[in-house]
Amino acid sequence: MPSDDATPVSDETLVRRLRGGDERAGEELAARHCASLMRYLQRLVRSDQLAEELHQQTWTSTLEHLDRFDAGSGGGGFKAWLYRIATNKAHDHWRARGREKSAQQSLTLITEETAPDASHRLEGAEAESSLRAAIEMLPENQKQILLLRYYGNLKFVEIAQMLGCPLNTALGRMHKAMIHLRKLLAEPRQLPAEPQNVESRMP
Amino acid sequence: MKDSVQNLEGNEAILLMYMADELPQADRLEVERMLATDAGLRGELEILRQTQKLAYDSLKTLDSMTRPATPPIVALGQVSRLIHQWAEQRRQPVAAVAAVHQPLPWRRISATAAAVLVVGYYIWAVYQPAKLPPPPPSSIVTDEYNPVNPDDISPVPQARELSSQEKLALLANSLEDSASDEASNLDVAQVAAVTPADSSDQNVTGEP
Repeated sequence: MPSDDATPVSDETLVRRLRGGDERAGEELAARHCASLMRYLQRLVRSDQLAEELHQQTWTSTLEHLDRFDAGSGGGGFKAWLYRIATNKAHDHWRARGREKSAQQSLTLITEETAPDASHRLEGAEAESSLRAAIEMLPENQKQILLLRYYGNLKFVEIAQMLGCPLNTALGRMHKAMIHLRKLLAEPRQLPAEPQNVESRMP
Repeated sequence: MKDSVQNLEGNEAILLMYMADELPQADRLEVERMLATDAGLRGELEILRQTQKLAYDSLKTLDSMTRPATPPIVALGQVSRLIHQWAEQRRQPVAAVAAVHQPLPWRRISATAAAVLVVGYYIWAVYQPAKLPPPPPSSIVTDEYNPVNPDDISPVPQARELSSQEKLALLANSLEDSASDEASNLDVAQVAAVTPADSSDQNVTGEP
């Protein structure tokens, strides 16, 4: 699990400095969270290009609304806020794609999500394919909590607050995700050879 | 948060919160007391730990086998640029507002007023009627100065003194005139002295 907590200065302190015009504080924040946030988006949307785009949108939106961030409002720390923005960006994209898809339902679209890119084919080791397929087979609401917990290292309370669901629901989904994943990995025959169309399992 | 354990549904939820170390101290102690006495609960916890480890290891393995969407150093550079642009934009409005709310520049106003005064005085001086020096009484030619309009401020014609060159020219002319008169007188005398016979000859020739 990525460890972002072994840092002497808190994220919230860096946010205060960044607000005051200290760009290096912002770069420190980016250095702490860039890699894990990018991985989170990569696993969530299953497209490298889209993950990169959403990553930039997330940071742009974070900076634009930095003055509104209130660490003491009970909404979690900066990291939870950052992942909430990223998740919202992904949801916005899915909603837009959903509208686009409904408008073009008569066409057979092969999107970049349905066709794994060349790098994935070249790396297509069986284990990697199985792992990828197993994670992508998870229902979206379960996978989202698992990814937020692993990449964001967020508390369950923060995840529940972020997703707007009760704590028990978030914990139940996490438990189901882990059980589901174990089952899928134990029985690889259930896994499809190629990832399914993400559009069909959008939240 | 005291009620958190009571509100959690099922052992899995409680154990997940326990593993995540998100339970309040009192609840945590309560769970540990239950674990110490309940072997079934300890088994559940162990299974849950292994399952969670499997899930996390799967993601970790997948990350090690696949490249990130963007190389970390590139992603970091992109975000750094965004931060820089954002900071620049944040600074610009502050500067603009500061310029708008700047207090009245008294020094500039004073300098402008001084410049206006200088220019105004210059203009007044240029268009002020020229004051003539009093002419010398001897040089006034009263015949030539007969102003019809009393507002006429044109300079009074004055008899001017001749320059030395003009005086020389006049002197040369007068000398030339006198010289020519003398020459003509001399010619006449010479002709009269030299030509008495010629004149007789002329007379011989029949002239009267």
